[in-house]
Amino acid sequence: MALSRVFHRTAKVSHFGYQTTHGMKLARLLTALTCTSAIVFAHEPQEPAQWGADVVRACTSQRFGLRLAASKKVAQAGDAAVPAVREFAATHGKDALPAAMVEAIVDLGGNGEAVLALLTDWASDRDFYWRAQAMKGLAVRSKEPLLGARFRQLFAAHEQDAAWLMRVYAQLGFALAEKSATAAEATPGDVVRAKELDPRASTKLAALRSQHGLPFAPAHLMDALGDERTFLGDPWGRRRAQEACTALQNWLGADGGYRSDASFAENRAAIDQLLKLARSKTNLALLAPVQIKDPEVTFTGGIELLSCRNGDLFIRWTKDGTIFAGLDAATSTALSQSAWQTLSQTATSLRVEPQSGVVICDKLRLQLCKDALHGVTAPAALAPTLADWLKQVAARIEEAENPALASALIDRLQQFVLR
Amino acid sequence: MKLALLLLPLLLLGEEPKKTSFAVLSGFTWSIGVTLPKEVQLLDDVTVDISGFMMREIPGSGPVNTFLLINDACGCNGTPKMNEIVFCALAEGVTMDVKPGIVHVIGKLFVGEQKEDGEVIALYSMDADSVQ
Repeated sequence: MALSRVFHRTAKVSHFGYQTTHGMKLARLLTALTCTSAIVFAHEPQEPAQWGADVVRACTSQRFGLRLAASKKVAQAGDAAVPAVREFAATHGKDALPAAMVEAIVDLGGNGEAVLALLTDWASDRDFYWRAQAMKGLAVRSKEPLLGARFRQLFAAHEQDAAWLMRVYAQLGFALAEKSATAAEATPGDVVRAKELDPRASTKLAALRSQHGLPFAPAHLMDALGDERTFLGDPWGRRRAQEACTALQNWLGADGGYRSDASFAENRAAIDQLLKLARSKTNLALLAPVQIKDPEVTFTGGIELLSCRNGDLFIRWTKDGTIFAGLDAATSTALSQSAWQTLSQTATSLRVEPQSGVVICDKLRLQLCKDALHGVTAPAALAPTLADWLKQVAARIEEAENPALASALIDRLQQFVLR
Repeated sequence: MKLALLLLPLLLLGEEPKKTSFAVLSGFTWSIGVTLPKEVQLLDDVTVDISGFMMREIPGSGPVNTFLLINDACGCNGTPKMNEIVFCALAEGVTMDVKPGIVHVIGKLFVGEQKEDGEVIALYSMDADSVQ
């Protein structure tokens, strides 16, 4: 019973047949020992044509870990492997390129011209799921003045991108490019930055700026420590808090014992210590973080559209037909009682499948009513009945005089409607 | 019925699952061969209760027997690191749909690097007895 089923599966592939806990641990030890001699290949010279096989492994291996390893090998080849990557994308479609390989190239691909061109193409391609990751690659490379100057306009063009992660990396890139430029080239203020309303973005950008030695607003990290907000059960506020805590730990050299899985009250002493350290380091009168909770509203359903291409949209509703928009439910629209009653009755006859289509990145999550099954839908896979119901919701929102939210919903649905 | 079958091994064992979280499992910087924090080591071979999001190991749409449990539904934040993934396996012959939203998984956790073809393919694996 102590045998890991996952490991058993691994063991079969690895020709270990251990059936007990002890056997399993011995197997781990043996594999660790034997595999140290098998390490890797990464710097061996290889013919350009041979990189094709590694790209295939990076994109199609059944095991996540093997895909990661192959991705690393491809990335470390730098320019030499780029033709094979492009060829794979041309043959199988760019959606077949996994995020892990793109990220590996971002982190390990070097500054060769072919790699830079590949990252630029990806970052500029609105339909490429991992364009934000590619943008990150260009951003971190912009510490070099020449590269900063080269990508500066690309960063400026995406500082207000619909996708929050694109905005974050574009702003990071622009800041790094500015920093790396000579005084004569630096033109601070020539790009108007939009106020960032997405709390995930403001925290991540502050964390990244801190990491890269750029000026940042400590309040964007401190405030996140009290975030306990959720969206349809997803504790996104806690993830934001963890990211902030990690950044603060790196910046201040301590985390005060803060734990993102503990309550605000339990973290009180840790937060106080972090605040004291931050105040001492900055001489700023930073305000103490407060607990940020979900609104005192019972949501009965909602829709979450996550799109690395088009940006995210969050909508929740209550039993009485009040529609809340935004990850933080910042705005509300009250539908007419009769309209909501009709929509609610229709919803009871609808069926939401746990998963429709093959999700790679962008997805729509729908919960029609409280305690109902959630369903996740890939682009171009939304059942017509559900699409029609959501369009009716949009129509009623428009009638309730919130045309901006209605058109945003209609616009984002287009990506998911069954074709 | 399927849920009852999934819970049966846990009931037979009578072992109270220990609550843990990704804050514990991924609260350190992992690299190959690094010594894991004591509180993580202590979870080896222990029945745990952990929340996260189900993710397929390979893209698809049908029911699964194995899945990855991760801490971030979007994935837009980057590929999860090895210490941000619990590789879960259901009992042989048991499959289930990948549930959207957060799930609570109970099962025996195994901690330690597992390698295949010289590469670390898992740090945490779990015999998932219950997924709710």
